[in-house]
Amino acid sequence: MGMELSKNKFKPYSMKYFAILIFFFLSLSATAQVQSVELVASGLTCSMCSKAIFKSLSQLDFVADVKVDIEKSSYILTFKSPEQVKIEQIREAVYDAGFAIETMQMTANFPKRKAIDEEVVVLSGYQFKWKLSNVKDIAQPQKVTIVNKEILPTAGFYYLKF
Amino acid sequence: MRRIKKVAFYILLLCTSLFQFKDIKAQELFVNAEPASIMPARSIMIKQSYATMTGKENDNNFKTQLEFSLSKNWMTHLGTNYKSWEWYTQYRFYSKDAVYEHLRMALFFRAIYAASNAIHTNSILLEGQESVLHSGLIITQLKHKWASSLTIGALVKQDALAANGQAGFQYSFSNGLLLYPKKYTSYGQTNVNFYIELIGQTLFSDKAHYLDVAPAIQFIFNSQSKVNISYQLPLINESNRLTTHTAALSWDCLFFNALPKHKKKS
Repeated sequence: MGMELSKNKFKPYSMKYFAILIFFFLSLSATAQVQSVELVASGLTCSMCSKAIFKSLSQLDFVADVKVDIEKSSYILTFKSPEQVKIEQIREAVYDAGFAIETMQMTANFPKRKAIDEEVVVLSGYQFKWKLSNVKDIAQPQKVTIVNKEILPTAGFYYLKF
Repeated sequence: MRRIKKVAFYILLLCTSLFQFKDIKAQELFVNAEPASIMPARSIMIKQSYATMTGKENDNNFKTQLEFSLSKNWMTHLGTNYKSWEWYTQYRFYSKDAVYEHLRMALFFRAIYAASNAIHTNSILLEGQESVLHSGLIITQLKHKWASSLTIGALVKQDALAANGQAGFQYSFSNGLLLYPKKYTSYGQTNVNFYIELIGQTLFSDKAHYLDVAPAIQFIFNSQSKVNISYQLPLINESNRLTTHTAALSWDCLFFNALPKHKKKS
């Protein structure tokens, strides 16, 4: 009697754990995430200005590392956890240092192999939209450009192009 | 007039010869003027300067200054030379950035409070010798090899006893470039910058005016701290100011992200 009870109890739990496990592995393989962000800042020529941007980006709590090319005013950001990437905060950090963003690119794992104009892509919790003239093949990982120049207003889309 | 032409010729010669070098970069961290750009948001700068002024009389000025950047567009300074106090604030209202260039504009206001307005000359003295209000516009352009900044402001001397020179114009035109390094490889490289600045004053009530030239050399250490050496001398001096030549040495250090970030309400 006791055995039967414990068996009955165990069965639904094991099913549940199994489902969670399956879902976990599925989500791992399908997770579309931003790996790194590369930006070129504008409005500066001096190393002191470059350091101001570097310091401003480095203090963002989700940023693990910032690699700089002072000559090109370019910064490559990698993250502590890809889910926590905050594009608005990256932009704001550059503006806070007193400068603007010329180009912003990101390298990411995309959920699909084809990019179609106006199709929505969800990456690291963001909704992006492709801005393309024709269908393109996506490499894994793929480097793309974020078209929007300014900080995105709420409930808007970040547009992506190759 | 011949002297001005001579000095202008040498400045032009120097500028054109410097342009012959490739990969010259502009610098706008001027020694005798503020650019329209604001310090990085939430940073603090400590500045210490020593100036020795000569002319009809000799004087020294030992000044300590604290500068705060309250946001990306607004900064304020507090300074003292231990005989007077100075408060300065600057707001950037226009900014157009492109790769290696920008055009920026800012408004500024400063108040100098001197304990005693003992000196009466037909010029307005801005090194803490008298109480003055000063406000105006700064336009700075950075374009690849050249950084130029124009400052135009109105001055009002806060001294009812002054017969002359109670109000006037103060203007400056600053230019700067990087001499070393030719190529940036790290923030640890020592930078050497050269500046040439023109500083002038014209009074409304009097024909008194002057125009000075101030060449300066600047060393930047660790992309964070600066040592400036400048020498200001008159090109035109139609005023009876007591000192005309200024040799200055200053040091400053910038502390990034020193002030807490204001959290936005979500």
